[in-house]
Amino acid sequence: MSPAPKRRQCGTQQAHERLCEMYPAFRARQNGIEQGIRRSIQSGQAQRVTRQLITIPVVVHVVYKRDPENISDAQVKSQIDALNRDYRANNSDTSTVPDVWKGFVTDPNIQFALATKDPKGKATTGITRTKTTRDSFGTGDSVKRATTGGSAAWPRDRYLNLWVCNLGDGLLGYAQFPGGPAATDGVVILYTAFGTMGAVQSPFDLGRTATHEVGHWLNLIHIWGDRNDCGGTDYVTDTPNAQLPNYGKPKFPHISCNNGPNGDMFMDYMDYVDDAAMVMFTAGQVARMNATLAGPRKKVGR
Amino acid sequence: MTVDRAALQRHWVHSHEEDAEGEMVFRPASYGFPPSRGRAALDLRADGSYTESAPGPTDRPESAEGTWKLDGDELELNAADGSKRVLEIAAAEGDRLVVRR
Repeated sequence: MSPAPKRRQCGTQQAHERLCEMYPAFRARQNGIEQGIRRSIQSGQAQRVTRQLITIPVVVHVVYKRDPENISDAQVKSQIDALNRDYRANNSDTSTVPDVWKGFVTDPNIQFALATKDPKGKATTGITRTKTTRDSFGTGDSVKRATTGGSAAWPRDRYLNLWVCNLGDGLLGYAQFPGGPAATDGVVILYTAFGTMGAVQSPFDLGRTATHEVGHWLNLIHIWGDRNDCGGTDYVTDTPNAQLPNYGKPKFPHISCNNGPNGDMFMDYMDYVDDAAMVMFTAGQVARMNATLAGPRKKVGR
Repeated sequence: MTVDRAALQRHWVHSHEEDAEGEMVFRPASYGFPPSRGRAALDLRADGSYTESAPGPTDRPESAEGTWKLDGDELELNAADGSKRVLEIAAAEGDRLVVRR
């Protein structure tokens, strides 16, 4: 059974299609971003811009109805700490990377810090707390609007917006690529999969849902290329072509798409495995993130 | 093997925790799944129409519609966009559907 429907009229996904319907310029902008990323990597501009460590200010919007959903400041900070390990390749579990790929582990050279100034310049903890009447939120972005029980985004040119809520339908998180509407720019994560302590639940208790979603926010694509037939691409050459998402804690190697002997790079953050099984970005992925920070997200953190 | 058409007519969701090598396991939508980065689903209706969904590029589910028919143990999915694919059913019993991959 292949999970990827083949309808791709206005983008590569339902959310894209919806954005295309709502914002006709989105598709054109998205294509422009892909071309710009290629140019930026080839010319070396991406590397130049990100030679210095970039620290991205983060606002965490905690939207809750029940007490457990109102996660603690400490839980929020544990997520920032996890991001800072993973986006500096300082996570100790890179030791689990198979020998053939140990040399592929690459430091993105990106850091995250809770914002200290709000959009109006006032001192802030970088955490907003919003009591809602909603039992849960779907993937229609209602958590990002005050009028639908959520909390409005802070300007994306200055902040990474992370929303934490009771995301419905058993979904751990979802993101938005660069180039979408400013009002919904950011990442949404289930409160039991955010950070490494407090309300978190195994096997999504190492903060890797945010690592994965922020990867999308920086324009990374799933390593199976979002198709079920080996015909998709993640626009990165050093992640082997893979057919489908891997789940759980796979055993090395898992072969698909004639990618033997080493198979799928399922230990990459952009697969679907458990938190404990995803531990690395590659140089190709880091180049894409650099190009995103040199291009469509060039203002944030600078 | 002949699969009972009536046994297929449910809203199936990928229970990836139960997958074995070469097999994907599906359970009814009401099964009570734990959180996931994304699950494929296939709603096979008695009138021959279906809706499927799968994780999209930013992890939101994306969906597609079409019509289905059963030939022996082969489930044929004809999507509204004209594409077609065939799934081989290994088992369809009560609350468990197994598809070969």
